[in-house]
Amino acid sequence: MTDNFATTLKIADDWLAGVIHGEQDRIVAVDRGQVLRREQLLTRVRYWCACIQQHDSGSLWGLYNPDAFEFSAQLLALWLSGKTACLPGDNLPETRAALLERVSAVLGDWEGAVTDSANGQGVPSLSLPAADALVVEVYTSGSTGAPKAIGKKLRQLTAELQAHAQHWPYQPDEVVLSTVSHQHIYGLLFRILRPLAEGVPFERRLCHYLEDLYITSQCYGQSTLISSPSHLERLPQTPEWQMLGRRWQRVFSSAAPLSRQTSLRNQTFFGMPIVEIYGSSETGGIAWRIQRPEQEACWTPLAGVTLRSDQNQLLELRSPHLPDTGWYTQPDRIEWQGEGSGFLLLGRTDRIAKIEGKRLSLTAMEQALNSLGEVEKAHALVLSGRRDEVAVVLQLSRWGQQQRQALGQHELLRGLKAALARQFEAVVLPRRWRIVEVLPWNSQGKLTQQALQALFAHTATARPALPLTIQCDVTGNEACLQLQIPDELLYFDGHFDQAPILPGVVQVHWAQYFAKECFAEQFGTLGAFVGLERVKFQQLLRPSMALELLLQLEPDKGYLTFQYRTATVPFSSGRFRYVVE
Amino acid sequence: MSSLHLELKNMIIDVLDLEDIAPADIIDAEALFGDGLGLDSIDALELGLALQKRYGIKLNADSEDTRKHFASVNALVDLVSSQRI
Repeated sequence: MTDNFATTLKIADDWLAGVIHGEQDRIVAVDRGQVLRREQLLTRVRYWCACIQQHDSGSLWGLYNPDAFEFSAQLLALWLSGKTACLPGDNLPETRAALLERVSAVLGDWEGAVTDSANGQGVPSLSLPAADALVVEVYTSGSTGAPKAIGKKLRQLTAELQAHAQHWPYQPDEVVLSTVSHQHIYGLLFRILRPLAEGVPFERRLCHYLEDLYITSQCYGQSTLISSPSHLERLPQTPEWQMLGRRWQRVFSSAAPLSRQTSLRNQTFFGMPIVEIYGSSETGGIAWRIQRPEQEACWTPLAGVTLRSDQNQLLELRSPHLPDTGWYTQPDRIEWQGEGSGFLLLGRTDRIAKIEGKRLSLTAMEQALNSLGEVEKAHALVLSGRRDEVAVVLQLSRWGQQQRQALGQHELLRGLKAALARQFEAVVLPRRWRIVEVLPWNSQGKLTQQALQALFAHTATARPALPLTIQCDVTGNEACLQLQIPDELLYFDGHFDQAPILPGVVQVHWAQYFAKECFAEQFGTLGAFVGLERVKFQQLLRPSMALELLLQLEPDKGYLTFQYRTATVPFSSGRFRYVVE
Repeated sequence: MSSLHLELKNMIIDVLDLEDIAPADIIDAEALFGDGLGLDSIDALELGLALQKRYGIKLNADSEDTRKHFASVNALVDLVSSQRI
């Protein structure tokens, strides 16, 4: 698929002056179709300038605000007041605590943020920052485990805005929509600064949920969508979404690698190009590509960026998006595909992982776990199954073992997860845990990925042990469940390779399992299990079968009767008997 | 626990591939996101898709409204029973 926009747009070096002094009635933002003009933005900018300038404090200010319009006003106000805006990726308590050690005040969605009160009254000065002024700090996970602040001068941002506008200028009649936050460099550039610099309105609301994306997209004839693989992989492929997708002129994807399959599927279904941007918080944008059906598309450096690789295939670059003109080493390995045809990305060389687009230092997560009293040693790794997820292998301390005995494993892990949640965003929290006596060191004293992943092997294949419940109707002491037996059921293993059948003992176990679920209260009143009676296995149950399970509880007699059947054929039946008190 | 409660709990466990959690571990009124079950924003996307697929529920209203229905299993039950024909 080709990108058809030939017009180029030049962003002036003093674009920020244009944002402040441009036509007053120009539309700068939209809120589900309702327009917000430059003069409204400037009113808020002046208001926030007055607040900031009356506040006696240093040059670093924290800013977190999910409202893109207010965020823009606060960001510009900080810049026009000679401040640097520190932009954390979230507003979790630990983030706030770490931020407060560095900044003198915070704006936006925080406890204790500077707000209206008596401030916002005086006449503020509005002075444009110099090209070399440090205007933002973005935060990211460093490979050592400590969060890292990356400063950006106005000059660096300007160079990047100019490069993007040269490749893919926004069109005058479109609106910029986003499923990604502007608290990170990608969203900040594409969702806020590019629209402001290019004179194209941005949508005020974030469209994280698909229903928001759906109704917000419908408000505009044409739009550009700023997105990420997390969302693009989950776009519904239905006729109504296909209609809607025609309004998207172009989609940008960054924050994580987009699978080739997802890119091609969406480009074909929605009929728009997906431009993938490769970069990092440290380097800004590095390269781009649009996936093609014929073969894996290579990455092309962005305008102004020079790349090379060292003998270990490690990527080195010089770029106007970097703070100086020297070579910078990016911990990614690349493979050049010959003169003029770009490169392929081979993966990272450090312990930074991307979980659904969120950057995580596995070292930081291990440090956080190791600092807890219950943990002797922890190792974190990434599993890629239905989604990207973090898994943890744990060696418990003596105290941890006692806690496990006292509380049970479930509660122990819940506590560990809660402790991590103060520091890490929910998306990167571990979803799978293995507690081991000793971590699986090999004879060279190394923990290999292979040995660690083997601990999670059965989850990678996710073999179900229960049938799918299609429907479940409970009336008093009777239940009727519509079940579907999965092909890949655990219990078909070795029970017979040529002609798998469901063992009778599993049928009995399922009957009791579902009875406990359906009659939770009554089941608790039953006495001890005495035995099974009248068990009949009349027909064989095979993979993929759909059938009914009928359950009947007679608490006064101590009976639980089950029958598996289809509309016409009984398969098996029997009765559990319990002590009647 | 009603049959729909059980059905939805099974759906949550199945769709989100949750480990070491049985339907009985999910408390009807407890928060699914954040402090309770601890689901995240990607899970919210997945659940929305599953509800559309399995129950034909149209999540086309404002997310501030629809997401109230994602607060707990009880809220999901209300959503599904109100929209299921």
